[in-house]
Amino acid sequence: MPRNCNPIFTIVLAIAVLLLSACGRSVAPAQVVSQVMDLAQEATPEATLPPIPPTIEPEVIVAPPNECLVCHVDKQRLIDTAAQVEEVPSESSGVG
Amino acid sequence: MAPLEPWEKVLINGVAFKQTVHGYMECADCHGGNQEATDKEEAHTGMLSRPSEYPEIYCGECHPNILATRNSSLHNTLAGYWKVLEARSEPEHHDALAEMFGNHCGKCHTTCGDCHVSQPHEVGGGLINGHVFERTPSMTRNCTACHGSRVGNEYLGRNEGIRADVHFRQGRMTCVSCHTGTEMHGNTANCSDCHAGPVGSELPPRHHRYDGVQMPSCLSCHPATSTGQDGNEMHEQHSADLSCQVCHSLAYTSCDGCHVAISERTGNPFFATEATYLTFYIGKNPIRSLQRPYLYVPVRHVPVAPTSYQYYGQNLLPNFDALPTWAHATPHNIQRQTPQTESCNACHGNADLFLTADKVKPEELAANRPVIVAIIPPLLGVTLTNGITLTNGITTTGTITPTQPSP
Repeated sequence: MPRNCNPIFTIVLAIAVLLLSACGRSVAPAQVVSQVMDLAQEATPEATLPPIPPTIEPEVIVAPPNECLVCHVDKQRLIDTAAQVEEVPSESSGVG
Repeated sequence: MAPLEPWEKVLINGVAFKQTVHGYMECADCHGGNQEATDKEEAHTGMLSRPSEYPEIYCGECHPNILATRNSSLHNTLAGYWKVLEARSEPEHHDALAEMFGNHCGKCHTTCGDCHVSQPHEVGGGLINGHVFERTPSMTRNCTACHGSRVGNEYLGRNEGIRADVHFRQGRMTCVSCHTGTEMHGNTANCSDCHAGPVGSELPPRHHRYDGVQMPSCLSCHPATSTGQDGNEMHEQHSADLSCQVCHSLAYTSCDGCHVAISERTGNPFFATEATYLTFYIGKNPIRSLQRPYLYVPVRHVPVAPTSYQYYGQNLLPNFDALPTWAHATPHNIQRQTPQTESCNACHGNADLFLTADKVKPEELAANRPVIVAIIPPLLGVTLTNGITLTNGITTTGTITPTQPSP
């Protein structure tokens, strides 16, 4: 059954055809269904649906590089780039 | 504690840190700088190495409750130092003292990070655990890194001939076992907000390490000692008039004559302490309050002198005698058995244990009048030549039988 058919209408039509078939010359069930389908298609106006938009691929967001961590987890790199610390002897005396 | 190498101070455990809540944030969110730069100088342009110096910006958004009490935290405000400076000086000296404070005392100001992610800046700083934030500070790398020369040495048994505190030696307790975050982060409650009127004079001073509710309190874990239900006669007799440390602590550090100045050679601030020595003296409690009603407490000599800040001006402490130089102390070398607990007469009649006038420098007698013990508690169980037998010489008229024969 086409998707744009009103299902309620179709059911009512099928029942009507069955009732009428008792009065007229006998018709094979397949032919009845086919006739019902044809009648349903003709009776139901074709609905107009909006066009399905094209599938949009999600944008892959690339996280900016964290150079902070790249450097600060690298022991050797920290050693190589460490600022030279000038040892200044403390002039304090006694317990602080 | 050995100082950290420069690279050690900034080495991050990338795996562990990224699994923490703080690890979900971008580095630049707190530290600024240029997170995408590969050059060190460019990356560090505009960087803030210690963002917790501005907790209202960087920490308070997620920790508002802790931020709210920040101004009551002595670790943050160092208000206790200002309290004693103001008491000993006049307003006209405050500008000079403020300069002194900024160069010397203020260096003990502690940020959130100084306890929870790095070593204190004052001892060189540096990440403790690869930038992982620790809810519980390290006893050795945080607490005693600053509180080392007195409390740390006492608690860990580093004073020669003095055992470590039993809470550490046997209890394996660290600082935070007693000193909780609530205490460290500040207490906004002001006793006088509720306790007004005549009791105001009995309230502990504000901005003092011994203000507010006694926290921590020995009674939190040892409540029976205050109710006399532990079968100990000394507790029954003295739990209200002696602080616990009077009987249960050993000799502790006192200091004399700290002077501060700026080096003419290097331009760096420095200090010089005249003397440091071990003492044990029982003095009168100078800050009796509802929470600390003790008559007697251990007292420690603080290294302030009238000329301590003379580099910054003459006679900056004209009210030097306003406060004792022998201050209420709570030594952190608690023992179950001490010389004081051997018998009642270990203290009664023993002038060596008490801060008497002869033990105080002449120029400091006036300042220490509130703490000097003028009359030593007399010996017990001793019959005088006039036939009078001394029993209890302090509070009651009952008879106390020494646990051991009188010496």
